Amino acid sequence: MSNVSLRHLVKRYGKVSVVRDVSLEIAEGEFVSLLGPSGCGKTTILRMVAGLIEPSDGTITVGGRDITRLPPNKRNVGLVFQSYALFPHMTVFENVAFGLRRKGENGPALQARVEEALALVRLAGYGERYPRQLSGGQQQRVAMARAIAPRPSVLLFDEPLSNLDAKLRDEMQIELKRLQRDLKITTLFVTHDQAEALSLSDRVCVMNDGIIQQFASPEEIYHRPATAFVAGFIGKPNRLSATVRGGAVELAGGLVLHPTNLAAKDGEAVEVFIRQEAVTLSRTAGTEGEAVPGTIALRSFSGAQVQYVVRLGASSEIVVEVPSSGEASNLSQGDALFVNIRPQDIITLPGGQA
Amino acid sequence: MSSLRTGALLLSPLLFVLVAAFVVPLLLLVPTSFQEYRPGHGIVPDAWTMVNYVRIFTDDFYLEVVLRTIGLGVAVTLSCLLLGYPVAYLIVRGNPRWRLPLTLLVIFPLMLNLVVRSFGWIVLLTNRGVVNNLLIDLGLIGQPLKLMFNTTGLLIGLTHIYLPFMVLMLVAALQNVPRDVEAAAATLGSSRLHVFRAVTLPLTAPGIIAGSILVFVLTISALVTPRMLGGPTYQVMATLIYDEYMQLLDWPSGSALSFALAISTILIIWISSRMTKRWAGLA
Repeated sequence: MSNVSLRHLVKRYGKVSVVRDVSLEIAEGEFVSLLGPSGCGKTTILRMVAGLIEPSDGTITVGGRDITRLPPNKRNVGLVFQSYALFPHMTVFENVAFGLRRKGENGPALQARVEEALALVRLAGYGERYPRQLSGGQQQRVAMARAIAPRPSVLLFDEPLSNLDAKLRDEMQIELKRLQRDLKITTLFVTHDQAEALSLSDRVCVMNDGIIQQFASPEEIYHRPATAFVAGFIGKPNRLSATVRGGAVELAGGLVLHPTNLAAKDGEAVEVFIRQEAVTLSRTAGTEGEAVPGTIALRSFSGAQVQYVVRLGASSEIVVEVPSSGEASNLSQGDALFVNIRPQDIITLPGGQA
Repeated sequence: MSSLRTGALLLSPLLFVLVAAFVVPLLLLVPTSFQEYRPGHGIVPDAWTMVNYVRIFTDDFYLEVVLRTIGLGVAVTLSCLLLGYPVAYLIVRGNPRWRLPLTLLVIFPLMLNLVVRSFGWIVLLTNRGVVNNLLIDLGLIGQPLKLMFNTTGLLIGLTHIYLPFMVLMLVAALQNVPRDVEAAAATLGSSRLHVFRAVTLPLTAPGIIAGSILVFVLTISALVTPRMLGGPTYQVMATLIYDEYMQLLDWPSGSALSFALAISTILIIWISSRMTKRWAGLA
C-alpha cells in the first residue's frame, strides 16, 4: 500500500506562512495534481513530501508509515525536477542506475532494470550518451526513467514540462499519462498549467495562498468550481458582478440571467462566471437557454480559435471564443447578434472573495 | 567587422606587452641556456653545450632541489585543497549572512604585504618563537621543534599565503553546482556523505583543477617566502635560479633551470588535469 496522506501540513518561514494547514488524501495508484499560481505553496508541499523541506507542523504518511522526519534518502520517493537535474558527469545509464545501485542492485539485474526503465521512456540504446548530448525532451525522459527505475512508492513531479516548448510539452504529456497508467504508481504532480493538470490527473487540487481551494475530479473542478478563485483560475472565464433578484441574477447594465443552480438569496451580491468557450454566437436567437442580444466590439483571430469582444446592453462586455472553422468565425466589428448562454454554464458564486 | 578581427583587436594591447616584455626576452634566454659559463671569466663566446641541462638531472644537489620544489608544490596544493574546501563549502552553503564576512576574512591576508606576512611566520616559527616558547612553557616539549629552514616551515608559510586563491576558486565552483542535482541524488537514496562524494565533489572538479594549478604554479615559483623561511641554505628552484643569476652571475645555468622548471610545471599540470577530468567524467 502506498497511499499518501498529508495531515494539517504547515510551513512557515519566520512570520510568513507558505503552506497553511493542508490536508490531502491520495489513494494508491492515483494521479493527483497540485495546481495553482506561482507562490501558492504547491512546490513547498511537494518538497516536504520528498523530504527536501522540513514541515513546521503536521504529518506526512506514505502507506501508513510516518515519514515526516525521515531524510530524503530513506523515503523511497522518485522526484522529477523542472530543471531535469541529471548528473552531468554520468552517462544516461549511470544516471538511471544511480538509485538502483543505492538499493544494492548490481550485475545483470541492474543492467536489465536500467534497460527496462530506458525502454519505458523510449530511450533504449541511449545509455552511453551524456546528458549534454541530449535534447531537453530526452533529458526529461532520462530524469523520469531515473525516478521510476528504483520503483518508488510515490512519484513526485515538480513542473516537469515547463522548460519544454509547447509542441514537445504536448507529446510529453501523453507519454507521462501512458507511463503512469502502465506503472500505477501513486503520483503527485505540481504544475501551474491548468490544461496539463486537468488532462493528466484523476483528481486536481487547486491551491491559492497556501490553502486548498478545491480538491476534486477535473470535470468537477471545471464545471462546478467551489470558490470564486477556482472559477476565475480555471478555463477562460468572463467575470461579471451581479445582484440576485427573484431567482435570477441582474448584471450591472440591467441584463438578467437565469442560472440553474443559484444558492444565494435575494439582494445578495454575487460573482457571475461565464466561460469564453461555453458560449455560442448566432444571427438569430438560439432555442436553448438564453439569447442575449449584443454587438461585436472586437475580433481577434488566433489560429484554431477566434475571440470576440461582445458588448451586451449598455455597460457589460464579455469575451467569446469560437472555433475558427465554425459559422460564427466571420463576424465583423459592429455586427448585431445573439449570445446564447445555457443556464448550466452560468456559474454564480458569492461575491467579495478573491 | 568579423568576430575574429574584433577578437584580435581586443587582444592586441595585452598581446603587444606580453610579446615585447615576456616572450622575446624568454626566447633570448634559450640560446643562453646552451652556452658555457666559466667561473671567473663569464660566458664563453661561441661555445655550445648541454651541460647546463644534464647537470640538473645528474648533480645530486640540483636534483634534490628540483624534487624538493615539486614535492613542496604538491604538498602545498594538497593542504590548500584540504583546508580550503570546507571553508569554501561553508561560504557557499552556510548561512547567507556569514557569506560576506567569511569571504572578507579569506581575502584579508592578501591585503598585507608578502614580506610582512613571511616575517610574521618567522616570529611564530623560529627556535625561540611564539609557537616553540608556548609548547615549552606548557611542558609539551623539552627542546624547540625545528619549524624553520626546512620543509615544515615552507609548507606552513606557503599554504597560508596561497590558501585564499584556492578558496576563491572553490567558492566559484561550488556556486555552480545546482542544488536540484544534489537533491535528486538524495531522493534516489544517497546519504549526505554519498551525495557529496558522488555528486558535489566531481561537479566541483573544474574548480579543484583551476585552484590546484594556480596554487601549484605560485608555490613552485615563489621566491620571497622560501627565501625568508628557508634561509640561505634551504633552497628551492626559485631561490636557486635567483642565486645563479644574481650571486653567481651564471646566466646559462639559471636559464637552463628556468626552462626545466617551466617544462616540468606544464607537464605536471597537464597530467594531473587529465587525471582529474577522467575521474570526474569530464573527459
